[in-house]
Amino acid sequence: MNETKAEMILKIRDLKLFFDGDYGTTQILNGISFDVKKGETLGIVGESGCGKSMTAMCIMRLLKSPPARIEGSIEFCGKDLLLFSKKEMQNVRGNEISMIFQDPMTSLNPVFTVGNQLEEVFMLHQGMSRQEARKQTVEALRMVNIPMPEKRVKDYPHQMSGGMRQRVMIAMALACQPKLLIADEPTTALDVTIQAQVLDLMRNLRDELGTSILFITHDLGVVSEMCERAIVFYCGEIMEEGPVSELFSNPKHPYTEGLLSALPRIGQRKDKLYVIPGMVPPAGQFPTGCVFVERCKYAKERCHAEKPDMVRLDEKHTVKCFRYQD
Amino acid sequence: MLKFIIKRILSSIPVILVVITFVFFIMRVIPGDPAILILGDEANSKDVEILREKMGLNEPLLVQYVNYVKDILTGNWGNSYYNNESVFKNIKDRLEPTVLIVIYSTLISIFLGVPLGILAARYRNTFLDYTLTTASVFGLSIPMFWLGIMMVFLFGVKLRWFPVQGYKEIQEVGLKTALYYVSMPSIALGLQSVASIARYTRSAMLDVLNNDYIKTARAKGLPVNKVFYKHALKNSLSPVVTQIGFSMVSMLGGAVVIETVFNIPGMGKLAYDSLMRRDYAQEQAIILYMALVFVFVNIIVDIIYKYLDPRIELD
Repeated sequence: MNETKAEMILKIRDLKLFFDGDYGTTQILNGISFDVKKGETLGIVGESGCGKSMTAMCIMRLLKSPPARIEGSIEFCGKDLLLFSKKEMQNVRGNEISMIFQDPMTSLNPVFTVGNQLEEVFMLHQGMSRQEARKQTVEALRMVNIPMPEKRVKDYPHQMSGGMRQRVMIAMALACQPKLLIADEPTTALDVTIQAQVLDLMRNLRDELGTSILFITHDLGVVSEMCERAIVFYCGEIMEEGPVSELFSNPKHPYTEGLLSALPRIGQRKDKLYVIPGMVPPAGQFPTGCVFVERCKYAKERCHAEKPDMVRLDEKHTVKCFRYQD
Repeated sequence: MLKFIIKRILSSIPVILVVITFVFFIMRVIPGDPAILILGDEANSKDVEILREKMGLNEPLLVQYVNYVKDILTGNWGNSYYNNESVFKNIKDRLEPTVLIVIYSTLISIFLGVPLGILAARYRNTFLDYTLTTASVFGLSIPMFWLGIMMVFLFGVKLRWFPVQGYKEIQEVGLKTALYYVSMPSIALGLQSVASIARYTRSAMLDVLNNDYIKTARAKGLPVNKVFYKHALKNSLSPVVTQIGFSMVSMLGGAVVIETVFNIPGMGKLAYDSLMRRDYAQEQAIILYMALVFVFVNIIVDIIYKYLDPRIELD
């Protein structure tokens, strides 16, 4: 937290997300705070439904409001995105912050050529003519290693493989050299070899362009490969935050510990993999105390009654658990 | 493309055969003897018997059917019992107003129905959407003949904006006046399609808006209108085009009612009159004709599909 402000790209403080429905309000995120520094890759890890993607949608302000209601602040380069007008937000999206989605098979519009969809970004944010945009589009496709980009621009998405489509998505996201790239499970839908290629590509482009990446995933292997720091999400709250090397070698939170024990390891033969007992409670039915209490092997009475605070273990490592308080 | 069209035409032969068969037997099942209708109630039974023999009506039904199918296939569709003209000539003489009415109503339903549906989807769950949805329920439930009569009464008799009935041919009065004559019938005929196409467009749009690529388009920073009118619209048009094709064909059926209400000498009126006269050959020819139009429109719809959605392969 001692870094100078100039280096901070994204600064989220006490972010809360609610959905107001006819039958009451459901809270999805509860007091999320974290920073993304310039050029770094921050991982967000957690099970399905823990609020990872919702955090991304909050940053992009892509949630329809109402029913969604966002509280807190999302400072991007010193300005609170939550105070931006619709128009100002459109200038940020795809330009300064862009996003890659999980499923490349459905993320591109099937009835327009990939070239057309890429050109749109250049024309929109850089005011290029169609000819200039076409030239840039070919370059962008070349940058993400698509063979024969001059020909490929005329392809429709269904004429490309999943890996290629995801590379098109990456090209589209990086077209305007954004300061922040949000990658929401970008490799989950790809098979392993293609996954490695895409991750490689993202790493190279990050180093080349200096883009910060917020990398959302449930795959711990990918986190260890891509990220310097990671945040562990559970039920709309942050459980633990720290450098990846430390989270992996020395997990503090019982949930992080559980996640790591559930990983299969090479050289270790087990009949059954470890499973964290219990289920993720559905949104709106989170426990009142610590959200992990029902599945925690260390749970005490206090954990049921009170919410633990974030405890700072050292300069970079924080954890939300009573075991480290006092 | 040519291969596709030929394939489609060949595959529609069974459909046409079924239509021929149905029409043939239904016409024979309904009561009424054409020979008596031609000769009049007072004709003696001997004359009727002679005429029936001449018309081939005394043959067993199956023999009549086989003869009929043979005739159709050899291009001999027969003569009308009523005026002894070839059925083709009768249809040709009556085609113009019907074609005008169907095209006119189709254009009305496309240029009103699609934008209204888009508007309803664009402003979904607002007052505008609710109003349009309610209006479309009215549009779908008002009987066409009643609407026609009310329009005749209001715009024809009271306000004198449009002719009350009848039709003047293009060759005689020019296209503009001819269109003027078919305006009221076309509006009356098109209203239901406006409503159904608007509803189809609305639900197709809303369906498409839930897709991932819409999220991508918004994440690119595209303005809402661009997302809506470019990315969502083209994707939602395929089901709408099907519906347009379908309404166009059902308008041929509606033309029977509307041409009778407005007393327009078109194919619909001819179909109605031929039915009343038990003019077997003429009625069968008209319905076969409509079935061919149906097949043709469907082929056109499939070709339009290809242009709307590149994933579709025609061959």
